[in-house]
Amino acid sequence: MKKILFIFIFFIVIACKEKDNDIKNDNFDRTLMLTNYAENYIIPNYQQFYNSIIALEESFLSVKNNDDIENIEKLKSIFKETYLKWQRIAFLSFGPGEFNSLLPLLNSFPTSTIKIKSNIETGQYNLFSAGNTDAISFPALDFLFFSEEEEIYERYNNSNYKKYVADLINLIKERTDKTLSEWQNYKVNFAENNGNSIGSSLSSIVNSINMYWEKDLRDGKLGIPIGIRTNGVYQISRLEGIYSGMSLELLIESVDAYINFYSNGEANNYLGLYDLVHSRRNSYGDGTLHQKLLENFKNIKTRLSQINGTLEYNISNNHSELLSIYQDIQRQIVFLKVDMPAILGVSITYQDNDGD
Amino acid sequence: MMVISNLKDSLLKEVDIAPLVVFRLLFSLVMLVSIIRFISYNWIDELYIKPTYHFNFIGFEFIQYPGEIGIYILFVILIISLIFILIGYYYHLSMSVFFIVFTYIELIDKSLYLNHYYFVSVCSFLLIFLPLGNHFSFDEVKRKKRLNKVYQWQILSIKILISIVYFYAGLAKLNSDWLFEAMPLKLWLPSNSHIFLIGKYLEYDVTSYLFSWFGAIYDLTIWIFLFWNKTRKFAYFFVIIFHLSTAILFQIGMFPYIMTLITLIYFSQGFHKKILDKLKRIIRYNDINIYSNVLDNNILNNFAVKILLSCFFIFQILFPLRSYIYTNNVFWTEEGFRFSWRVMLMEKTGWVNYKLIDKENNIIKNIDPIYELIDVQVKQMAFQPDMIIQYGKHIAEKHFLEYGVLPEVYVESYVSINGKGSQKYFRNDINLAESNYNNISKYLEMR
Repeated sequence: MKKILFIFIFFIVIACKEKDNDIKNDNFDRTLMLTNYAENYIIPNYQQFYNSIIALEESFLSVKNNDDIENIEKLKSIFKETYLKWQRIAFLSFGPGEFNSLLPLLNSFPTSTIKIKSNIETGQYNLFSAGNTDAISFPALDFLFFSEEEEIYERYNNSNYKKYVADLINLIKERTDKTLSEWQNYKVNFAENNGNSIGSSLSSIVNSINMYWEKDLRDGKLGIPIGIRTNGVYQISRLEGIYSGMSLELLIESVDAYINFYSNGEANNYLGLYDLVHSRRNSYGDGTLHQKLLENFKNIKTRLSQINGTLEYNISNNHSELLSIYQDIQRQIVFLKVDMPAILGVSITYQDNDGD
Repeated sequence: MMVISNLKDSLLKEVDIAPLVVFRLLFSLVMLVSIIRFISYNWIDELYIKPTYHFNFIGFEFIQYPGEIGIYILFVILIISLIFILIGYYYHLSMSVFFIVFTYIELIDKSLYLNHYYFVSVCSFLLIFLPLGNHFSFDEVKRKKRLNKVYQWQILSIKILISIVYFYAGLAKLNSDWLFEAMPLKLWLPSNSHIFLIGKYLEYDVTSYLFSWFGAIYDLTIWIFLFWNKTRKFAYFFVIIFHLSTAILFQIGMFPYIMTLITLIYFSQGFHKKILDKLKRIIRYNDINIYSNVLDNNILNNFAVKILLSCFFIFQILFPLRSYIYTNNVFWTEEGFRFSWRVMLMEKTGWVNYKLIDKENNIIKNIDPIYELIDVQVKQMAFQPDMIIQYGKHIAEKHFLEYGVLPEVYVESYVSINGKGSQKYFRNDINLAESNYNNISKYLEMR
């Protein structure tokens, strides 16, 4: 038995000597990273979003009292600001954000104008019913504030209209308030759940940003409108923020949020996914994966920023450029969904399942 | 001639039945726990009912998902058959039913394939032909006959099957990634750094090398030390250490517990007799001869059974070797990967996106499988060429049913093996609608 043990150790020594041991496996503090995410990204961004909704609510109150052009313009501008701030937290479908179904409740588009009008007309509605998912929240407000249809042009004289808008704002406010206050308690569990198995905080983050990137960002904000799933037939009516014409801004803001979230505040030296990937062996071709991911995010943002005019305009007039950006976004999935999870030991699935 | 006749004598030697009875109890109990665990995690719903598409095994297309009620019935049958096996009632029939139903369920969807499920199938097939149910059972009450002695080969065959599993699992580990790069453990271990006490040691490369080499040597040799009287206890200590650490480090469900329990079969007759006697005392089992002790075991020792089991073992020895015949890298092509005890061997992930072209109707569609398949299916199919083809054909068929035209289907795909960085995988110029499963390695990019 001793002989075997000896041979065994001998082999190990050889095996270790043969390979370089120069790359470190830092004692990466995942709890600290998760705490940083909670305290320096997630909670502050929910808070700012919440503040913006309060501002929206107040602005709407003043419009109700006095619907002059100035007040209405102010309301529209605050709405845009709020919608942009939503992009920074939209992809956080884990923890309280997930429990409160924030993503499906706040931003299911395209919105159904027929349902919205009928809700306003009858004044009878349950905003949380499944049938009303596409008649509420941001996409509905986008329509109600910006549509130029005549029927609702008289909007601020219509008490049903005013009530509906107030109810929608209230829905967003209540849900966000609940999520925000739950995060205050949840952050401790979140930081302590520092493993990598299914259900761990890291796994939830990686899965959530992947899901949103694929389904909401690539397809919802760009792919579907430019006709990727419909044989090249444009689906302009399915753009996010179609009535306010801010689809492109929303998309750029969303990509920017990924840059910020992934690097978790490069400037502030907070630990984030960027650092976690960096702490692992992650050579990729002639570069490194942690850099590659960041470069790709930034490249996508730059390309989007260089587009002139609205997405609506560019779909018809600059389609090939959008298609090419779509390909870049899709290419990034390979890094996000294949390379990153492999290096982090995280499984891309929400399903708890055995492996062998 | 002497050797052969000695061997023959030794195989036909009559030994105490206790090891087989204990094995029956352990096997049925641990499987009952497995199945109940599976049901309680809601996996029937998540993994079988939810998917609208199931990946058949090529050649077993006749095995279809039996529908929501059907799948529940199958699981109920599993539980009933296991209870019957446990109490030893209609043992051979129950074991046959268990084998057929369990295997049927496993064959419904390839993306759920696990080596340990395959082991359960293979093992339960063997158990059908062994006399596990004729002692300490309801069968003996029913027949008023009890079997006390069995042939040596009947116990030996289980040991050999387990040894094959270990040995091939070890053989598969003898590759340069595993031995000289300590991959994939270098990826898997550091990500467990949160584990209490041992976590921080998992971050060192040395630990990954140690685990890799220990794992390979363990799998290749543990069965030898388990066979050998002198080292058995020591070896079993390693069995516990090994499977316990895999249970802590990896998400592999019941497998560690199944292996730890069933390797008890290597222990002596005396050991099993002691366990059995204790159990008999507990349930006040009447061991005094009210029944005849001479139940005929020859029916299981006849020519046909021997031939059948010989073929079974030849198959078990040869089939896992097929991947060594293919010249291509088995990690890349996956040819011969399944059913070969390649357990926890690599970290492979992938991504696919399909393009469907119907020239007649002027249709070009991008199809992302995430919209039709469940997570587990997407994850598995993205790096296994036969499943990439299967799904491509499925898309083509669906289109054919709708438009009456068989479209061209192409795939864009990337995989990453052992964290080495994603590479283009399946060639994007192969029309999947007209591809076949015989040329898989030709369809892949060169590695």
